[in-house]
Amino acid sequence: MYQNFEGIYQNLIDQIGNLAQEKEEYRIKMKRVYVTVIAIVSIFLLIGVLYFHGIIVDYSQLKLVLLVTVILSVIALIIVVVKAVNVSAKFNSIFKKQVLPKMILNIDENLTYKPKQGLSEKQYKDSDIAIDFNTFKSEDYISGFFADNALLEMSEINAQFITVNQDGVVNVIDSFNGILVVATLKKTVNNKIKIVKNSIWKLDRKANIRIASLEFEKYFDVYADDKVQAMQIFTSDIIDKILYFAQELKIKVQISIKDNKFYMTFETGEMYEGGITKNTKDLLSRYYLVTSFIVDIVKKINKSIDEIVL
Amino acid sequence: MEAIYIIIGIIVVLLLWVIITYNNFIIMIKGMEQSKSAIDVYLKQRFDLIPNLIECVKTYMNYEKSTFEKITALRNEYNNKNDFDTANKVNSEYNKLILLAEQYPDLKTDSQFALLQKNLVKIESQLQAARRIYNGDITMYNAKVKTIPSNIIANIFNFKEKDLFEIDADESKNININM
Repeated sequence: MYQNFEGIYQNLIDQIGNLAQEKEEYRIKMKRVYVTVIAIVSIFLLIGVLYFHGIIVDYSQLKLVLLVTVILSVIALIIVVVKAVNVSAKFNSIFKKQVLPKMILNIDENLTYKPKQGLSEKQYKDSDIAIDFNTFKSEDYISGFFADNALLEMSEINAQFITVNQDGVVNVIDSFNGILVVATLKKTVNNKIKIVKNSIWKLDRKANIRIASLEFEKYFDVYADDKVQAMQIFTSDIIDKILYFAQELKIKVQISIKDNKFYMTFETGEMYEGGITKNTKDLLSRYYLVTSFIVDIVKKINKSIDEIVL
Repeated sequence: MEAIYIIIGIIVVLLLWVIITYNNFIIMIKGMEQSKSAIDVYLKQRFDLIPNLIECVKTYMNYEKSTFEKITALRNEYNNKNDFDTANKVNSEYNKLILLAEQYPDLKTDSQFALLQKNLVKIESQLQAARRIYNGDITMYNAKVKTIPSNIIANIFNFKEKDLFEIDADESKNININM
């Protein structure tokens, strides 16, 4: 069930209507937050004016007025902010429970979306394209079978490298924030293939493949134990698609294949979040492009491997 | 005195650059030779199927004797010369033969012919992959030969641009193989 984005967006119009209601409510709540802040600032200014004009003469009287005003202001702010946050959480919940599952199902009917599940740390490490990390979080799990044993799994992961120095200062480095894809292929490949970010320092000169596209080489380095087989799997069509992704969407992609596993990482930043202040159509369009690209590439790789006699 | 050190320093840097660039060219040429030998292997495997193919089809295509002779002669020529021009000629005749063979319905059902076709598909896919690797190496090498400053070294040591290896795509695309 492959559709273009406009078709899918039209299918989601009811759910997006629910999101619009929440957005409107959020706008009202945020208006209240701003009004409350302005009111608090005005009250403090008024107290200042009254004090300097000698209307409030007693200092202890001023302290009492200020104390009461601060307490009331904090309570008022907490109430309005919590209400706005609740609306934002409700918006995200509708987005994840109603909009995303339907969009993903529309991209491919075999796929299911589980917002609270994710791929494991082991799966990320097994990819051979993981960057050093010591904390790992994962959510927004999408999975589905395309054939008897061809399973596609993907989820958003956030891997960080956290260090604490002698003074107790915590240093957090985002080592990877994006999408990890793990696809179990129909056939086992007796080959190790890697497509990684282009670098002057080649990981392994002997295994490095030039693939007749200077443009592709600007972005990627390709390595394989069996170079010919790697080129049979990564047909020109697939190479062009990967290049388009890197060039047009400015998303860093890395790929590896070993045995019957196909891994991809996409440095997309935060994915599959509602974003109440953002344009929903633009967000959905980005999620659609990334997800449909992944599905397409995994299907093409499976087909490619199926065609070469292993 | 300082000026002498600066001049010596510049000469050493220049010499190092010449050596590194020259070595890079040599590594690239070695890589191209390896990629070419992979193509040769697959071309040879492909053309080694010719006697079996002729044996298989001649009972159905008796009057194509001249085609068989031509392709056999070309294959022998390729085995002697081992160059891409002759390989292209053999390939072209080869594709014509298969297109001709496909016009014989009885032949299509022949199990021996089906097996040959299956082998052919496998080798064809490997050949195309090897060709892409070779052309990738050539493209990178030619870019080095043409661009500044490595073209200076290319000119001094006479590293010339090389031709890409192309197999007639239309004909190979036309081979309709049912596995």
